[in-house]
Amino acid sequence: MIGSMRDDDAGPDASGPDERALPEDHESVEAVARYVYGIVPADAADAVDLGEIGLDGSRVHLFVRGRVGALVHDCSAHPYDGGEAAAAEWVLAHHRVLQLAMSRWGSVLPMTFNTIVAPSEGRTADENLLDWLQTENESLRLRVDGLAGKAEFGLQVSYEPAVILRQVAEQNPEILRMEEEAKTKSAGLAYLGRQEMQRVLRREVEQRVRELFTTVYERARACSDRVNVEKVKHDGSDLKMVANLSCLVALDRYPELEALADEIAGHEGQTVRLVGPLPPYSFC
Amino acid sequence: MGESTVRPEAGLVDLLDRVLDRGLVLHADIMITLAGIPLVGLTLRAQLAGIETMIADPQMREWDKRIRAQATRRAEAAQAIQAEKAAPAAAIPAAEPGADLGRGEAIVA
Repeated sequence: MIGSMRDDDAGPDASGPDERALPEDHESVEAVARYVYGIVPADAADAVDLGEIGLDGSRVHLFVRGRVGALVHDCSAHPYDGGEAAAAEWVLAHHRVLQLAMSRWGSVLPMTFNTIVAPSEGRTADENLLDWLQTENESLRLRVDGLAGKAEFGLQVSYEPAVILRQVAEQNPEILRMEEEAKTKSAGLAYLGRQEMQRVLRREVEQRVRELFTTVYERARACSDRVNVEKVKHDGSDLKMVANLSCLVALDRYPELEALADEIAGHEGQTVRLVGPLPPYSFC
Repeated sequence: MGESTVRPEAGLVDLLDRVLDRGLVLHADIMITLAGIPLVGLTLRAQLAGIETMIADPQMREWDKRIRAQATRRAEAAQAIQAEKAAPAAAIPAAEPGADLGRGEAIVA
């Protein structure tokens, strides 16, 4: 009775991503499955229709069981799969539904993209979904209540290598001394001196960057409930990212995070990107 | 002074990882969170991130091997749990046969 997609996908038309799961298939073929966006606290057993705000404009409604509700839309028992443009739209739509849920219910447990509850062995998708909500009712309610009044923020700190390099070269006494010494030496010795200077310079820059990360992390942790260290990214610019954090922050403590961001950005050669409030994708 | 703090609206770049790789996942009747990429999420993600190119790199091949092994273990564990259930119920995230599997450790709630 597992609502797996695997059996459905084993058909001859499952040969390649381009030929399957066209967006319109999800609603027009057979809407026997339920795409789940997230879970909200819901005490009243009333069905809520959020309108056509879901993936590909699908109608999102609330399924309530006990003390929680699942935000869903009806779809075919087939995962969403497609090219970049379609995927981008889906990801944004998934996010918009959760943003709306967060502002309307004060808390939401986001589901991973493409979480689809399917019918199975004589049971409808609704029955499967309601069973799951029933079984996990208390656990889900505890989790969603635990996130009330909190949101996720993305904090990314980057630096300009050239600026940090210049600062270190101008300020580090050891390097200044080595520079002076190189001026008085023969060409061969000066070359060796410069090599050594480069080594020290690299070491000092690395040290500076490590300190920057530690400062950002510790300060972010001080005003957050939880902090996840994410992989740093490179956007092709001259900037190098030193910290990519996801922070779960109580909304009344957001000003502290904002002040931290401003303070970091106040230093020459450092750039900060602060995004949020977001549904707590990284903390559920 | 450095550049001022940038506070953009959350865009695709902020949401891809979060929406595709995180969040609650339904798997049989246990609830898990994945630190990494869920089944179909990775399939979709592969098209977005050019992961095939990345996997050409020896380090990425090793990573790929590792996550597949992890995912296999997870799938086997889930099957064992399912086999024990007299009345299994409900849902899993949509998955494709032969789809790339997730990375990261699953934490049973």
